[in-house]
Amino acid sequence: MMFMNKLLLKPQIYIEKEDSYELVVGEDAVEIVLAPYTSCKLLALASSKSQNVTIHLSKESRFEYQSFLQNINSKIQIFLEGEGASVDFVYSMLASSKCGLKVEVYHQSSHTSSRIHNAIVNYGEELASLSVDASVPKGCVSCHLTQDNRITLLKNGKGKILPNLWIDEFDCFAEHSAYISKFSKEKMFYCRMRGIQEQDVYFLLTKSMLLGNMNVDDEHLTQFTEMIQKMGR
Amino acid sequence: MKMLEIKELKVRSKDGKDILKDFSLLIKKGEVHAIMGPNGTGKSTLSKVIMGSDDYEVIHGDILYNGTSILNLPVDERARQGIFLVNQNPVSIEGVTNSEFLKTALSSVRGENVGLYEFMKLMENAMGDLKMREDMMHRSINQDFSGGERKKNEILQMKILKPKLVILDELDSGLDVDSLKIVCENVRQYLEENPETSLLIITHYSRILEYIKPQYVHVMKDGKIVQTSDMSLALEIEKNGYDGVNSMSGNDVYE
Ligand SMILES: Nc1ncnc2c1ncn2[C@@H]1O[C@H](COP(=O)(O)OP(=O)(O)OP(=O)(O)O)[C@@H](O)[C@H]1O
Ligand SMILES: [Mg+2]
Repeated sequence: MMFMNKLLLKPQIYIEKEDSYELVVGEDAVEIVLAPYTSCKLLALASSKSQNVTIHLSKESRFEYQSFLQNINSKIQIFLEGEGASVDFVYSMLASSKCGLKVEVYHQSSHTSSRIHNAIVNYGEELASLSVDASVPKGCVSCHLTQDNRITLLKNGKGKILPNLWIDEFDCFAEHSAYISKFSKEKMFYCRMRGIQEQDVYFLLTKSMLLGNMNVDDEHLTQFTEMIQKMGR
Repeated sequence: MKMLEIKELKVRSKDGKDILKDFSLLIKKGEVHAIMGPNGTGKSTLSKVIMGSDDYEVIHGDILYNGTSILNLPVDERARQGIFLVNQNPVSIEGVTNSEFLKTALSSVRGENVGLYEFMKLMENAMGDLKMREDMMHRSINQDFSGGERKKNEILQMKILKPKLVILDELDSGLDVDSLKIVCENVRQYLEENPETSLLIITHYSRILEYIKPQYVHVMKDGKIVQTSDMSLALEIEKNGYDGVNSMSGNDVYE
């Protein structure tokens, strides 16, 4: 899958064509609106240290949002406005200084679904944080929410995860998991047992954690892999 | 020529349990040894300690590899010097493909970057020998692999990395009759092609030993070797169990 269409940064972007897009988000706030019955895939990158994105999803629209970032503070708001709207949100970040993600997911119609996967590998000594809020008000039936938040610490850095689900409707499926840990000792041992040096093991395991969930073209994969490689040096 | 010499090794787990108690073993170049013993006697611990796991503390004794102590070497350095352990339960790593993992490992072992073309050829051949499906190369390490596929994958790594001392910790567990035969034939062929390579087989069953004939069979109990003999000992154990073998006989046969 190639991200052929580079979206130009405008305060508001209206997507009504089924396709895949690449968007480089700068300091200014961006608002993305997905037209009814449209499915699209977007890869969001960053050109500044902070980003602020608001996403509106109309009826039966499907949005696949992926992001690979380094040391960014992001605020993302997702409004599932139309019935049957769904979002797949995959956010991967390499951290070496203080950074974090705050994502808010508002289910505002019935049969809406959100799947959120956030992963940070913290190479630095400071705090990396994930704050994920999702809400379902009364009357929005058959909503589906999953959240998976992971932070891996390589050095003495810290990690904080704040997952919040506000659900005011019985007819709803929700699950969440949150892990803050070091890389698994067994996996480290297995890799080193085959002669791979510690630094290269960190590289492989970081790649596993940050890119394992992503579905991007080779060109971006190479680019992200190089970013991970540089971080380890 | 000595390959591995373990001298009066005492090993303690992090939580203070003494697991290996005065364990000694000598393996010369090109020799095949087997260790059998009841569950929980310390066989897997021994293999992990040789590999350099930091779950355990060596409180006495030494491990010499090619005449030099390796106790202070990190795990990856031991591997680069040619020590290879097939784990009883290999872990899976999501998102790292078998081929990327092995190419990184091979480059580390050789100390130089391995070309993609050469690597692919090596992989193709080795996977063919093991009758592994080609798509396994591009799958995450051991992710969703069956028990048998994991073991085959370990032998694939052995064939690519070309170690000098191979330790098989229950290679035979999880392998069906046909897979066991394929895998053992690969190990045997590897030994033929690399006659200096030494092999230590940890097993509960004599079947694997009929494919790969050991010169020495040791019985391990409670953290040390209590009896050493030849293949006949393995057959006797299979027939009569560990309590049926006389632990006083046959000792030191191989010195
Ligand atoms: N890291 C550890 N911490 C504490 N105890 C341990 C540790 N590793 C092993 N042990 C204990 O040491 C003993 C030996 O374990 P080990 O796995 O070496 O046995 P084994 O001979 O390989 O057994 P099996 O035939 O069942 O594979 C067991 O009682 C086990 O519970
Ligand atoms: Mg064992």
